[in-house]
Amino acid sequence: MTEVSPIRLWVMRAMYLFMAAGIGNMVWPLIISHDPLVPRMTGVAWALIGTIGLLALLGLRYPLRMLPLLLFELIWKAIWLTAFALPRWLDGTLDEAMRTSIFETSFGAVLLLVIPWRYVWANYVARPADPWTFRRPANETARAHAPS
Amino acid sequence: MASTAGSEAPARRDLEVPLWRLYLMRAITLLFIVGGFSNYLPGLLDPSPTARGMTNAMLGGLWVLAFLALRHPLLMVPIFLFELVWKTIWLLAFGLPQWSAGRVDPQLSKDLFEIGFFPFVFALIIPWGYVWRHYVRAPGDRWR
Repeated sequence: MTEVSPIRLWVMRAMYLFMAAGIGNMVWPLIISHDPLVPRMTGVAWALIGTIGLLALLGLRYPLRMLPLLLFELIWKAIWLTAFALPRWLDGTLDEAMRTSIFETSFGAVLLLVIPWRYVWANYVARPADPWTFRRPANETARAHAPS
Repeated sequence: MASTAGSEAPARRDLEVPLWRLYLMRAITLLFIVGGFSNYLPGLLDPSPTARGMTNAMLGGLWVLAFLALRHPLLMVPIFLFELVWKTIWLLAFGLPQWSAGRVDPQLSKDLFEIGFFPFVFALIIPWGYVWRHYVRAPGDRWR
């Protein structure tokens, strides 16, 4: 099993705390007041971001088990920067709001330092998949096909 | 895939979560992956110049992680919880209030089904015993 140092766990917890506090402060008041006139995509975006903040609380207790949440943060920010911000930047059509978002989203790059990559590799890539089949009774040596 | 896992396959009684439930988790993941090729991918590869894109990027991020969930549904339980929670928040804070305020538009009805229906599906699929044991009762990761 790949060990993760206590310092790293603290760094991860700091990250979860930052996410929970920031989102709790900025997004949850908007969700709770739920203005019925909010545009469709905005409601969806707030629900998604609010969920990150909520699940980050669980990360304080279980930083390693909640790693998928940190991976999610890193991946969606990378997607946003490359698919949405980069083309606008290349076209020279960035507006002020986009610039602010780029600044905030780029901060997600610290996740590259926070995430324990060796642990991720050992547990999410190298480790055997969750079972697809049962072990058959001993006299049956066949390789398992589809489960029955 | 089955052949590599086959040699290490556990006996039925050793499985912490029954195999049928792992398949149920994988099935909904697969549905999400397949749907994503038409729902999410085009918007990411050829984004609309006016889109802010935050929502698209987040849904795209969940879609990418779904590939991992196919292989490791239990490790990816946080993502299943994520799906349950965000859809529930949307339903309670936005979908239902708008619906009960009498707003009628086809997009809302579509969302009420496509987003608002799924919390119930996820609530049935998530292995709650496993969640309870590993995300509530289990001692936290060490502090020192």
